[in-house]
Amino acid sequence: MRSILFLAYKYISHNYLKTIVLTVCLLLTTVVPLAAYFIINAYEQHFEERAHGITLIAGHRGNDYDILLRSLYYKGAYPGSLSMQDFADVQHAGQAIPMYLPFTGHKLYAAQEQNVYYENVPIVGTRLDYFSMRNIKLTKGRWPVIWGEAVVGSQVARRMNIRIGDFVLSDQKNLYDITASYPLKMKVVGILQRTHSPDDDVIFVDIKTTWIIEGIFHGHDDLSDKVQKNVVVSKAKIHEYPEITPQNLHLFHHHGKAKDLPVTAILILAKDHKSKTILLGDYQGNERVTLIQPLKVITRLMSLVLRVHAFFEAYFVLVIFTVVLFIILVVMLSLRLRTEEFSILYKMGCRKQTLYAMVFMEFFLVFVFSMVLSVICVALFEWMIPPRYILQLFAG
Amino acid sequence: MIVIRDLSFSYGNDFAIELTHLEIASGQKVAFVGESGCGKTTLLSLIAGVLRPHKGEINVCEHKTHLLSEKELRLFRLQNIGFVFQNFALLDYLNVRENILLPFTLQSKKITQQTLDRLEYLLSAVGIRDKNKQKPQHLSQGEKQRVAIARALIHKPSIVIADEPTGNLDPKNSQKIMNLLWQEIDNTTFLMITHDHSVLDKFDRTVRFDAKGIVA
Repeated sequence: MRSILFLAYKYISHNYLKTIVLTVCLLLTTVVPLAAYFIINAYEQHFEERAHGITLIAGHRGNDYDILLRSLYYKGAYPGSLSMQDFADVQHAGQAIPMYLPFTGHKLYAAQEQNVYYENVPIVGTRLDYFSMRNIKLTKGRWPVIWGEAVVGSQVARRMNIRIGDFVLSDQKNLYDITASYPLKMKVVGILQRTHSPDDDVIFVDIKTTWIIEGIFHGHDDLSDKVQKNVVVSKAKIHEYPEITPQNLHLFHHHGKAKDLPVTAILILAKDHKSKTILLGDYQGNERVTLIQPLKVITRLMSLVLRVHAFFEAYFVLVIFTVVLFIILVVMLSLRLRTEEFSILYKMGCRKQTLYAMVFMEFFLVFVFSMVLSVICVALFEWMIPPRYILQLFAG
Repeated sequence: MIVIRDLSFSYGNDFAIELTHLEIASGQKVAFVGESGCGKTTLLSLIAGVLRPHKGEINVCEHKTHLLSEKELRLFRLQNIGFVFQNFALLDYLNVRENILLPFTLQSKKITQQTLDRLEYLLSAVGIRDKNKQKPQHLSQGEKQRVAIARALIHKPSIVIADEPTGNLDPKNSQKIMNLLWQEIDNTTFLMITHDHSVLDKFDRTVRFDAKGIVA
C-alpha cells in the first residue's frame, strides 16, 4: 500500500499540470454546490437567530415576508403601519416592543471634516426594552433620555466615523414634498457594542423621536403670549424647530390621540404558549392586523429558497456527471499513454492489480486534494463573507 | 542454470518459436542474435516468466516456471531477474535513486542499510553518483542506460536479461556500457539480445535464431 501511495504521489506531483487541471475541474464542480449549501444554511441560521425568542410579530396585513424583513432586518418594502392602540391591545399576552421603521438617516458632517462618507442607514424608533431583549450593550456614551437623542450601531459609527456628540440627520422621504416636515437633527449620545447582526447597521432613537421626524410631534414658536381675546395672533410663518434641545423640548407636542400614533411592527414575547394561542385566535381574520410567527415565516421563506436550490442541484448533478465522464476519458487516455510504463512494471514483477491500484490512487489523491481545497475555499468564503452580507445579497 | 525442453509458443497463427533443448549454465554470458522478429525477445520473455509456454518445460534457477502460478511468477521475476531494456524503461516521475530502488518499491520491501550501501556502490560504479536526485529527462542516453543497469543489479538477481541495451547508443557509449555491464555482472547469468556482432567475442556462447524463429 505504501509503495502504491508513493508511486501515485510521485506520478501526480511530476505531472503537475495534469493534476492541476483535474483538481480545478473537481474543485469547481464541488465548491459551487458546497458554497450554495453553506449560503442556504447560513441564510437559514441567520434568519432563525434574529427570530430567536420572538414569539409573534404584529404588522399590517399584507406580505408576511415584508413584515419579517422589515422588523428583524430593517430591509425590504415598507409593510404599512399599525397604531399604538394595536400595541396596547397585544400587551396582555406578554412583553411587547413597538417599532417604527419608515426612516433613514445619515451623519451630519461638520464643514471642516474630511473623509466624508454618506450612507442612508435605517432609523429604528423603539423603546429601551428592545436593547435588553436583544442584549445589546453600549460601548461608549449613554442611552437616549430625551427626544432627539440617538445611539448608533457599531458599524454605522465605524463607517461614518461617528463619535459621541456628533449629529445624525433624518433623510426626507420625498425631496419635492413641500408639506413634509424638515429633517430632524439628532445628537449621538451612545455607540453600541458590535452584535454581528443588522443592529450594527442602524441608528436607534426613541419611538417618539421617529414620530417627530414624521411631523406628528412637532415644536414651533411659543404662541401662548400671542393670544388676544382667545384668538392667536401670529404671522403666517411659524418656525418649526429642526433640533430638539432642553430649551425647546417642552414645546414639542402633537395634535390628536396617542392611540393613533403609528408603529410598523410590534415584537411580542409571549408569556406562555397559551397567551400566544389566545392572541393568534384574537387576530385570526382581522382585516388590518396580522400576527406572524417568525420561525414559521422563515421556514416558508426557506422552502422557497430550497425550491430554487433544487434546480441548482439538478444542474450540479449534470455538471458532476459531465466531469465524471471527462475524468473517465482522462483515465482512458492516460492508460493508453502509459501502456509501455505498465508493461515494464509488469515485466519487473508488479501485479496487474497493483497497477490498477496505482491509477486509482492517483485519482483518489487528486480527488482528496480537491475536496480539501473545496472545504478550505468554502471556509474562506464563510470567513470573508459573513452571513449578514449573504443576507444583504438576498434581501437587498 | 536454465534448462528448456520441447518448448513451443506462438502468437496466434502468425508466429511460432520452437525449441527442443537449451541449457545455459549458471554465470554463463549468452548472446542471442538473429533477424528482427525471429523470436529472441519472446524466448527471453519465456525464460523470465513474462510469457507462459504453450508446451514444454522451462526450468530456471530450480524453478519450474511453466508450472508457477501468476503470483509465484511475479515473485520469481522480482527476486531473480534483472532487466535492461533497449529504451532504458526508466519511470520519468522517479529520480535516479528511486528508479534504481524500484524493484524494492514493487516488493514493498523495507530499504535496509545494506541496500543503501549497494545503491551507493552501484551509483559510483556506473558513474552517476552526482546525479542521483535527477529525473531521467535531465540525463543523457548513456546515463539513462547506466541507471537501467544499476536498477537491474540492485537486488543481486540470479539472471540479468538485456534486450539490445546498446541499441540506442552511439558506438563510444555502447563500448562504455558493455564494459560497465561486464564489470558489474560478475558471476550472474547474463542473457543479451544484440545485433552488434563486434561484441560477440566477449560472450561465452552465442545462440542464433533463423528466420522461422527456430533456434539453430
